[in-house]
Amino acid sequence: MINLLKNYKKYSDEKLIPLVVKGNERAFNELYSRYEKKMYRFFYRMLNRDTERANDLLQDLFIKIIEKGDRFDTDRKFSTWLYAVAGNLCKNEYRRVERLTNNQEKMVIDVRPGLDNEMDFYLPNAIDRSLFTNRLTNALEELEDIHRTCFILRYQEELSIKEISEVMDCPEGTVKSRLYYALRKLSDKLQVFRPEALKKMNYEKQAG
Amino acid sequence: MRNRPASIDPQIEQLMLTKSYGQLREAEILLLEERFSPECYDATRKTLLAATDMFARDLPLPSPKVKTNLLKVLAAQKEKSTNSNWWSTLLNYPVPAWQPALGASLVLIYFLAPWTGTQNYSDQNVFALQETDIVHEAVAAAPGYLTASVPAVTAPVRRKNVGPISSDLTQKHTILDTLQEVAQTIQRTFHAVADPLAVPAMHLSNSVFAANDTAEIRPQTMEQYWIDPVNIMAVQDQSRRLVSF
Repeated sequence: MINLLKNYKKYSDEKLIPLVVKGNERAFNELYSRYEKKMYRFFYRMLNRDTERANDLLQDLFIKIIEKGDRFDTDRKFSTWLYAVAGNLCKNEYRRVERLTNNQEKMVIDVRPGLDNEMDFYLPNAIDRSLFTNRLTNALEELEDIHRTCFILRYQEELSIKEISEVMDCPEGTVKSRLYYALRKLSDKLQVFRPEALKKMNYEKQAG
Repeated sequence: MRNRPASIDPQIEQLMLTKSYGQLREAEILLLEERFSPECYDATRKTLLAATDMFARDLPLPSPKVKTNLLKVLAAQKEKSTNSNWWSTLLNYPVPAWQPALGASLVLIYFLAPWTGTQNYSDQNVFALQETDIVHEAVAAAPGYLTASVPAVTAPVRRKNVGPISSDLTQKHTILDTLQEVAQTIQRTFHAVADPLAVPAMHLSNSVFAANDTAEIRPQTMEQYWIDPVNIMAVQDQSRRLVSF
């Protein structure tokens, strides 16, 4: 009865965890609603947009919270811990897939709607924009795991550099460096959409 | 050739998200100079904008089945948590509460256990049953003591290994019968002795038991056993007539 009167929306994540471990459904609902979409999208992106596996890993992640949430160190920030656990689940998944096949099939890329605003300036043509987005998605999937994780945590999940360093257990300088390489590699792979850059590159090659 | 630090920080990110190279002020260009050429800046900016835009647009939702499955796991966890609550609370208590509790329990068990309490029985009327089939009754307050011989016919039964009385009714009755015989013999042949403790007594197997509600046999030392007369009286109430004192 007392539980029914409690407003768990006001509770911090760290305060909800012990209740979830005890099987409190309302506390679980609150925590789940806070993170289900974020974590699902993280898995979705990390697993090359495999929705089925993303759902599986989302479930595994929350099972870990329910069953092993008492291992969470309350001195840490819950979201950071959650992303670290999610990152480990992805690593395990990569290993599993790698074991299954060394020649992983690429996903069939669908055509996404066009981009507005700033992107219109660069790619005013809708088809170009769709192609660009698809190419970007592919390029993202081709990045090394650590670079992709860093990139997604920063630009999709919008974590701070410090939070990413905690999630990935590395110095902030390493995070910045990984972001730089991720951006540069993506940018290099998308050069086809920059005729002026290609021209310059060819010119430099010839001159060199 | 300039040495460009291969890293990106939030300040540069912010510039990339908001301004093209042509829109940058002089101070901002200085900030970039060591890391990005104008072409490189614009190319990276384009990638960054496209990525953030894609992330903002491509918003898939998880399957509702996930939550349904998780609620089942949660219900199971709740049950588990309720069952294990009392001892986990004790074991996980930050102050080591269970160790003192365990210690106290052991001390309590020691004092309540059947092999202790010799002190209590020394002042009462008891039978000492020892190896030679001679039963001896000690009466602490009396001026003299009584001894009795027990027929050898009861010896095989008495030497039999037996389990707890309460677990096997047949065995329990066998033991009680034996005790009854011993007691009746004592009644028939009591006579005075000078030193009760000098008399050897019948041996019962070391695996002899403690009873819960009938006769109780307690080891005084490794070799001797005592029968609690109070409990023998209790047996009488169950229509199994034993000796009365």
